[in-house]
Amino acid sequence: MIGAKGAVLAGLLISAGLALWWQYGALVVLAEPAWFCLPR
Amino acid sequence: MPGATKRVLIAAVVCLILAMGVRQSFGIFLAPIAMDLEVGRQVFGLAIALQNLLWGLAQPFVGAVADRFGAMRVTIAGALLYVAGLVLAAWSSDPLGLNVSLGVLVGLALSGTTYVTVLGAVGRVVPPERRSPAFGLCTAAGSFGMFAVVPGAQALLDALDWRDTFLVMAVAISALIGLAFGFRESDRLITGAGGGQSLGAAIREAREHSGYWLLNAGFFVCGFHVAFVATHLPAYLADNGMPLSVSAWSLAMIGLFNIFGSYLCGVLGGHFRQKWVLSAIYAARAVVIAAFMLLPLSGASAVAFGAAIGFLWLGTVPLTSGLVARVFGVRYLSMLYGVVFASHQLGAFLGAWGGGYAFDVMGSYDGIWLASIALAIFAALIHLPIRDQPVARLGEVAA
Repeated sequence: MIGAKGAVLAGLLISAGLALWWQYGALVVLAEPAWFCLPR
Repeated sequence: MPGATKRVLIAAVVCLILAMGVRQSFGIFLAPIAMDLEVGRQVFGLAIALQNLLWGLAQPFVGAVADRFGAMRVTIAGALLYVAGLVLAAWSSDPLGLNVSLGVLVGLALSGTTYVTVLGAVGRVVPPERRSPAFGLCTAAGSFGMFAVVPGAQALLDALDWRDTFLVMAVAISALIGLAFGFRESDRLITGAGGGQSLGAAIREAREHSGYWLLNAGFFVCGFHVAFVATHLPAYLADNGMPLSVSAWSLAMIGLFNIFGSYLCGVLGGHFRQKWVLSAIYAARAVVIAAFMLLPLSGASAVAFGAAIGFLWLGTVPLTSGLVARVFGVRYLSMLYGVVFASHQLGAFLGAWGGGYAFDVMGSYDGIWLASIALAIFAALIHLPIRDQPVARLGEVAA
């Protein structure tokens, strides 16, 4: 179903997503501890 | 692959990236909205709970409309509601505004722009033997949206205020209106594909098929698992002294491996009987959760758990929807899968809420983890006796 071009595109998109997590991942969790039921 | 099929698939993939990605990012708006509007956090929580409830409850009906009038019209209507919901949310100044915009409008919009509607369109243009991988590709797209849009929205929130971020998201969602035209060629196939079966007859046929009930029960368990883990895993890790970065990376691993798992499970469903793959997924969930409970907790084990459970996260979607299509055909796929999806949302409600309730009562998550293992074993077993051959009516239609 996914050819070579699709795999390269998927790889690039996923890398971009990982870069976003690297930069903002902790902020996502920190943004609202109560949302994740974290102790405040 | 024919051009028409490719256009439907591209529209489906981009639709799901945007619709699921934006929906997944609402949690990070909680703090800024609660602070800015000076409302309690439960106000925002209620709007999102309402959204999820409406999404699930409306899904069978919206699915039936998509089966009757086509995915293109339903997706356009859903996109308009989605945009209206986000724009209204940006203008909201009180709890009512949030409930109407993010709760009612976006909840209804999701039922018209996500898996049930989109997979119905894809199912009509893809030949039966390629259906499971195609559904896997679409599910992986939604998984990618959930993975990448959340930190992307956080980046926007860092640069803009929450109102402007909602407006940017509304602009992104408006692309769905154009993408919906990609479903046109699928909608042309609607007439005749059911051999003249009426909607009521389709419901009766499914109701009398034990496999349909078992699929509903299995997907309920899936919803329970994903909602419990997504909502309560960070709290569980924090309770056990793990730093927030471990929570963040565990969630990121769920999102990342969910992309691969969704696609691979769809591909596996094209090679093996889908009920067996489903059974294996649930059995593997039982093993993964049990190992997580039994092994000493560390940052590495938490991230590894995120990767493992993420791999098994939404692989159930292409297989469950594929089984519904295989047994009952694609004429009423959106409606029939919509009912199964509603079961998933009920399970999700119980997983998210029950996890918190059990923690309050028992003082730990141990009981709910054990319940998750028991439910996984139950789901693994109930998929085995499903009669997965197409109903007799489909043979008559083909003949």
